[in-house]
Amino acid sequence: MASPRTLRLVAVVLGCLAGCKQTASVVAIDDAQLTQVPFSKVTEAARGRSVRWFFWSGDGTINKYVDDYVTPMVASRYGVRLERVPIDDPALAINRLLAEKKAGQLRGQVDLVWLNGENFRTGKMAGLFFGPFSRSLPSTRFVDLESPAIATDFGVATDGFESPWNRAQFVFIYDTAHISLPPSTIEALSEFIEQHPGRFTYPAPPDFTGSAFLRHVLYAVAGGPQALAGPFDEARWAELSPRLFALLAKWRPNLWHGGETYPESSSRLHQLYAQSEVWLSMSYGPETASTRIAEGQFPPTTRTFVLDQGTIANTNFVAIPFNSQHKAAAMVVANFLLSPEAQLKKQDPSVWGTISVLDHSRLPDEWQARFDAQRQGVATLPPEVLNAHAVAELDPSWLERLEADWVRELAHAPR
Amino acid sequence: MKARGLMVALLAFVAIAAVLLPLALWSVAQQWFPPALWPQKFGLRGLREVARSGAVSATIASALVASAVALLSAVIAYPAGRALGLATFRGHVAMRTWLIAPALLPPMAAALGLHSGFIRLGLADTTLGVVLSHLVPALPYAVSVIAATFSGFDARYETVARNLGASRLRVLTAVTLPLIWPGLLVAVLFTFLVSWSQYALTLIVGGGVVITLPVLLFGLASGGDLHLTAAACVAFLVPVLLLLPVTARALTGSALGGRG
Amino acid sequence: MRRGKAWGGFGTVPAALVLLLLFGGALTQALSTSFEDGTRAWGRVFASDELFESLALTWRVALLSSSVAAALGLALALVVRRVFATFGGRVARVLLQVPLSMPHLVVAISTLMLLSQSGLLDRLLGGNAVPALTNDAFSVGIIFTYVWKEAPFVAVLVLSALRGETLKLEEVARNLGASPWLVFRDVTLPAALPALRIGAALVFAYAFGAFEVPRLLGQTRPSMLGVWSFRLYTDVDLSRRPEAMVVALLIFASVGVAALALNVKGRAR
Repeated sequence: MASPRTLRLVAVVLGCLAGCKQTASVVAIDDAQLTQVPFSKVTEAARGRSVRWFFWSGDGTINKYVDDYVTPMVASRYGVRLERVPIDDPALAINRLLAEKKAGQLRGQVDLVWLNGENFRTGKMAGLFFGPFSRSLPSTRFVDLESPAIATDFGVATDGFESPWNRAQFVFIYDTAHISLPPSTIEALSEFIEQHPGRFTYPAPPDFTGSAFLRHVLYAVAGGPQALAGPFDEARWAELSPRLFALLAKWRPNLWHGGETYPESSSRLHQLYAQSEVWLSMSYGPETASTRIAEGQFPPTTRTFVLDQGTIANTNFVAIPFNSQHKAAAMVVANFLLSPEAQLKKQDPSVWGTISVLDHSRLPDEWQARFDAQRQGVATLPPEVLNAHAVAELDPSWLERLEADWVRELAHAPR
Repeated sequence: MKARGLMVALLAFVAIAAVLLPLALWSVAQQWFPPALWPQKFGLRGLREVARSGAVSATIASALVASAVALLSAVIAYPAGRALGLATFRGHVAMRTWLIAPALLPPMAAALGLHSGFIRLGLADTTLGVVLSHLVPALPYAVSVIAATFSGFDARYETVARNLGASRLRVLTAVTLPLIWPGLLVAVLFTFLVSWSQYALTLIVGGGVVITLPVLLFGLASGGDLHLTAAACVAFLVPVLLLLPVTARALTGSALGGRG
Repeated sequence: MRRGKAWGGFGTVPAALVLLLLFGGALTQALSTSFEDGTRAWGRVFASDELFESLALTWRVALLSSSVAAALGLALALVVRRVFATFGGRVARVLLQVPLSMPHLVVAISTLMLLSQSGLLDRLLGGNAVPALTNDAFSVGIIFTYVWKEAPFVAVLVLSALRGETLKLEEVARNLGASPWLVFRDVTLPAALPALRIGAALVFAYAFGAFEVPRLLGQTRPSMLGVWSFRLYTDVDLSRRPEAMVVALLIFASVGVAALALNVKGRAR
């Protein structure tokens, strides 16, 4: 039997350990109250908590921004421990939340997700997210909430169930060593494909970027983005789809691998581009090319361009699952991500280089000056050019048909 | 004879190197554009990124899970493999089918099937849950290997020992195990590797909370950056290849043929 | 002494029970999810154009991979056995175990680095020299990956099975004047057969149901069943998840049929 002295020692040590853990906040706020109380209370409740952020981690640069900047900042400033959990595909996080919702699991392990429109739509319709919370974040006052790119995400009203993080715009990537004049219209692209067989391809839908590319071709066939405003229209589709697919079929024999197969993701297309199997790539990230040049993955002669008719721009967001156990801390992280400080740092090409999602005109003057002074990456188009060529997303009701019909018409090797 | 041996070794070396070399080179090739046969620029960006992503803790997690799976599998599969390998008993065929069948279930289906049940049992997102889920593909392997080992085993050695008065335990330790330990070792090694390489099961049952090496690395590998991907693969292989001389020496004895 | 023979299968009970819970449970849940939407998911899968093509492709690739891996594995085992005691033989035995420890996806990534049209083989041959060996209709890259990884596995299984009496029996047969072919056919092969069967069945099962390897090295359509199942599972349209389970169950059933055909259950020794 242990002596009383030993027991006392053990008690003291245990007490210390328990005491050390007391940096965790004793304040706990009800979910319903989280959006009603002043944000300072939320920050207080968040102290000492951890946030597990489920995150597509295929890009080292983005990982570094989160790990080397965001994580230490939220730790030192708010006492929040941010943990980045790598996942292959946001759909897996959504599936997981769905399974948990079905099983009535109210104590989840996911506190924050980074997602694109389709996954948000699925999640919101299934009631997988906490909210509305974004309006109660202080940083939101710098955001233009009326802007369609912020108010809706993939045809579903965001309603404050997700907080904006990044602005994205579709750009084409090309190698100036092989191409002197980039094909900035779909007609020019057609010519390019014919003159350089095997040097172009696009990711197969339902890949997000591949699907976006098809939408640009559809815009061109329809005579412009404004011609396709509004929800899916069967008659319009019956008129446009034969022309669209005829064009794609004409390109087909001159695509990479004779059009028999397509890369399954934009990442794969980037890899083909990096190895010069193709001379063009595409991305929703205007900064992707600069980042990959800096990493040594893309040839240094890489540059980007947008179409004369404009390219699709959208926003991506972060959302908080319904069953997160650290919602206050997650809100604090979302707020920090949206702050001018974090957005400016994010726009620095030596860090990441993406465009800020904040509304320039709503920022205080000194911040406006700082953003203006920010330079771009070597292959990144300046914000003026991007904004001048930004067009809205196609209403998502068109997508299901577009993707399904593409698979039917073009996915199989020509027989 | 010696020359023939060397030739075989050389062929094996070329075959292995053909697949390992691209990975090794790309893992340190920060810039490697065609048509160059040798990287233009070497660098450690990829490996650094992998290290920063928590490769060390993921390796430890993988090792723990795989060891637990191997141990559990060996214990559970030993009597089963022995029964199947030694004798025909009533229901032999059906039992064998049942014990091998799980290897035929695609990992995705097993993962999804187990996930909902595990959520209810509170096993989802736990290491224990992951270990249990790995038993589904691992046990059939263990049973197969142990059964194969016992199919070459003459049970009469045991009978003789029993008749000479040895206790059951003594028979096991002094007669059976010395004769079949190589096969048992192979079974342990296989189940370790099956668990080590598991992706779908850990990803879904572990839910991103239990982070093993495959989960970490396949996430990194999805970005299309060959340098980063190769670095991730190398990080995956190094622990196991380091163990190779140790396990090979154990296996090199009578396990793989020997003088039997 | 106890009279009569106790059931020899008692040893299998713990394993059978564990698998009943885990495997049986997983299977039941998979079935139940597939029927979540009534029979609609089953109907949609069976009515789809993809089914036949995907089945055909998957059978072809799995059959080719497992038979080549089995044949090559057997050959490897025999060759290594011949030079077993030499230094070279020992080195070969160690090298043989390297593929065993590599996950399929890693081998697939390396295959891409090696055999793609911007890969090392193409550069070695001077550029623009290599036909489409990855993401091709014949699935060369996929089969190469499976064979490279699994032939050593089969070899290890066969070597394990040929331990013990087989060497002596072969020697006896040789002394009785049998030709090398007859020794092989009547002594070695039967001894190796159970291991070959199990090895081939496991390779077939893996190749049939895997998704990461064909997702990297295969074509857009037709895709292998595992890829199709994964695509359905990660589809933003959640109502497709029961279909994903249907395809997964189809995979399981097909592999079961193949295993039965291979007579894996086989005779007892």
